[in-house]
Amino acid sequence: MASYFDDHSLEDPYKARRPNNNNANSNSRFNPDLSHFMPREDTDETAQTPYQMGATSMPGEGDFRRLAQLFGTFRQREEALGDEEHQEFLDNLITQLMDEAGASGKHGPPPASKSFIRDLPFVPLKEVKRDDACIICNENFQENESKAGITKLPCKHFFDRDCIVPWLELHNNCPACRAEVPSDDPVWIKKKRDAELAKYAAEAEVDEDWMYS
Amino acid sequence: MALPKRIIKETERLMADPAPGISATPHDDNLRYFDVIIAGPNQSPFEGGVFKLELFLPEDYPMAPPKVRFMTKIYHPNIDKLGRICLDILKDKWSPALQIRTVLLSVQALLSSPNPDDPLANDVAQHWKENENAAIQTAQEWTRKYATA
Repeated sequence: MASYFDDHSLEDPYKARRPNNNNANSNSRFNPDLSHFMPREDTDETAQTPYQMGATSMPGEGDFRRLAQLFGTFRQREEALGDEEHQEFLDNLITQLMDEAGASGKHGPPPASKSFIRDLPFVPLKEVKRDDACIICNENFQENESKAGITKLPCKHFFDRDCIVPWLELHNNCPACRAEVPSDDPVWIKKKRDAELAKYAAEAEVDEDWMYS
Repeated sequence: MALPKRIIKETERLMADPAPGISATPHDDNLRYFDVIIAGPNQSPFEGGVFKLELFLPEDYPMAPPKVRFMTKIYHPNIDKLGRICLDILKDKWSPALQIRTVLLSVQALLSSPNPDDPLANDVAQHWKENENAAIQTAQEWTRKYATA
């Protein structure tokens, strides 16, 4: 298929930047992602979302944010013109892009700690009831033996290892009962410690009340 | 990428054994994209209405929640004018134990019990808090106007 630039006998200014441009099997030309519309941050590898799960052309969080900023600039220019309907349209677009940027894995609790995931127990098949299924894939444990094995969380809920590990890499709770497991996230650790201190303080107060009442 | 087995199973069950008042049909050309219809629950301001929604299962589903949006205009404090829904399980309270079915049942329940204290549509929530009867009346009017076939 001829590109816009071919049709108009123009030099494609982005040609060099596009991956697999000369590969006939590549579908990247038919499925442009957001990176085609804006400069890439070549150095910032860490901005990529950590769990791409095989998707190669998914736009990253940073892409949405940059696009939102781009529209933000348009919006500022529009303000002077006073076209309210157009401004509202841009507002909505920006909100949606920001939502999208915050969406993947960003919502909700932090990842479980690396050591917790590493030390997940291996549970023998005989420990699992006959008709129990993993609630993530809905497959019966007994009929589905070929996988990486079964594990359980401290709350005693069983899961296929293959199913629970990707979840714990995103969030530190049990999918069945939301019981928390440890996290390496500094904010989570601090919150946890503060809550514990508050609890001790409250208990100490109760003790005092009891002593002097 | 092949469609995960879980999605296939969920779809089969949705079609064979739909939840009352809810239908979800995948597109032929994109099995992750569903046309959803929810009937307005009885004894709610949306009773008698038929609401169209779109539901999309992102690449990382079920590790990430489905994206759900009302296509039919609706007057509800937790649904904005773009049809976006303010529902915790679609955001920070998502769990991979939830499914398309449970998500849609939650949306249906949200129609029965609007929550103006956790608003997405601020003006609607305000109206709901200041004059609930009038707000309900507007919701009924919108249901008649936009959600009746």
